[in-house]
Amino acid sequence: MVGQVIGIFFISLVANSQYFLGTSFIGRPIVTGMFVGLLFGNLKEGLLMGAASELIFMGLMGIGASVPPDEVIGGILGTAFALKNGLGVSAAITLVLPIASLSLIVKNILYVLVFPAMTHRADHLADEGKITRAGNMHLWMCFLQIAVLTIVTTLAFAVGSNAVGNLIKMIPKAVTDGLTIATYILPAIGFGMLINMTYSKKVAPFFFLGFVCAAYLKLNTIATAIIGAICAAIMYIIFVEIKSNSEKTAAKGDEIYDDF
Amino acid sequence: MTTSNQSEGKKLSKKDLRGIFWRTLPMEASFNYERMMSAAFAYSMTGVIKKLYSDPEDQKAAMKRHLEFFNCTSAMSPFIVGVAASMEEKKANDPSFDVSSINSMKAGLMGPLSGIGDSIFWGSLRIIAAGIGVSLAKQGSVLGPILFILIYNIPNMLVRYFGTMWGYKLGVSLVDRMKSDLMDNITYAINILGNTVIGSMVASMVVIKIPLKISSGKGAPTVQSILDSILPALLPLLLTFFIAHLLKKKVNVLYLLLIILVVSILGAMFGFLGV
Repeated sequence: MVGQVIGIFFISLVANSQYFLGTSFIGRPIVTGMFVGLLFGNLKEGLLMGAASELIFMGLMGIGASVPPDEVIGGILGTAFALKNGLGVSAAITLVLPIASLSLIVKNILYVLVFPAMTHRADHLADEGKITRAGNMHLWMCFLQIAVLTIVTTLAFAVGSNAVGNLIKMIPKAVTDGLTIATYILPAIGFGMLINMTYSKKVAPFFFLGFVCAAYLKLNTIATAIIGAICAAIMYIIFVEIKSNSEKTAAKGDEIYDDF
Repeated sequence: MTTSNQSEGKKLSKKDLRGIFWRTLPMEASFNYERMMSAAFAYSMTGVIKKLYSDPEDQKAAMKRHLEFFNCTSAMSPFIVGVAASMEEKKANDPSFDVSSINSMKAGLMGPLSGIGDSIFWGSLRIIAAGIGVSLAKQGSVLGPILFILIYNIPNMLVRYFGTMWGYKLGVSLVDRMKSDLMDNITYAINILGNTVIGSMVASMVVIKIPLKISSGKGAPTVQSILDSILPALLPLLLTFFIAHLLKKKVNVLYLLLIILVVSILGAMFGFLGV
């Protein structure tokens, strides 16, 4: 058992580093299935289980701001529970669901509170002129996330899914729901900062054009960006034209003046 | 040293660009909901900033610029970092360069490239790789996981590497054209594109829903449906500008963060906020 826990620790350490290592998907169930199979001394069964849970998680993906259900933890523990308890993959995946929701709560705390606070620390370091340390704050966030998710996966395997389910029942629903609501409101701070940097009266009409395209017309960002690019091109042409005209009239004025 | 640098013009080398490629690998690993991938972007630019600017004040300003909101498909991000690096290079050699165009350019690129990148990398390549991998793994072959990793990551790494190089090259050819009298117009055009995309992101990425009912009884209108009939995404728009205003007044961002969190939890508890 101790050997299995240590093995799961190392597998989830590598798997949870997939976003650190170039979003390389080395933590997907199809890959971790192989390693979990090796750990339990049944490579073939691990590969089959990995393939089956990959199919379950394949349809789920994160688009824009949403975080997908955790396929890393789900894949590792689903395969591990299946091999350990002799269950089918889909039965094992249902065992993983409480653990996946615990990991989502943990991630939301990181993404809503801890990482923004650490980014503000980076702001302060930059203000003090400590450029390298401000940049490295990113690495600390990466390592913290890998560490936390690895610990969650390993502990969850060690104590089993029932214990995790009981733990989740103790967290008030308002807190987990509130965290989710906050994830949708928080980007307003990021956009507020961005607006302070780029917004001016001269571009205000185009800001609202983009807003209306998304809010009323429900256009996606690509369509809106194309419209924005067309507006930019039109305004550019107009300004160049105005400039060359005013130069022409200025030149003409000079000529007339010369005649006198 | 600074004087000789200024006369020759500061230029990023191939080695610096390779440095960007390595630094952009963990692009997605510090994601958060406030500024999303801003810390990763700033980290990617640290080497460049330190090389281009010798004045600590300039370094500080550049670092702050790149700590602003950023979000894009991980594999497409190195391209944008490359473009940003070329614009910083321009700024380092030409103090009159308008820096607001740097973040506008980032905003203008991140929206469309995310759309394309998500559908190519998450939507297609990952599915193709997994499809081939799963069919082999189902026969119990270790080639399944191995091919899955290779099929996904060879294009992933190539796009990241050449994206950095091409982004930089494209940026340089763009800023070269930003000479003299046309520079203001190009900066303005970039700001138009950037702000159009920012406007659309405010409407689509900030979501505030108030499910409270106006009166009791079935079919009673909710506060949200009334707000939506005035202007969809009205609350996100107001909140974003209110926060921008508060930030200008030097209100501590951490307080805003905590207030949003507390209000969200209270909202979930008493049902005046929903998802």
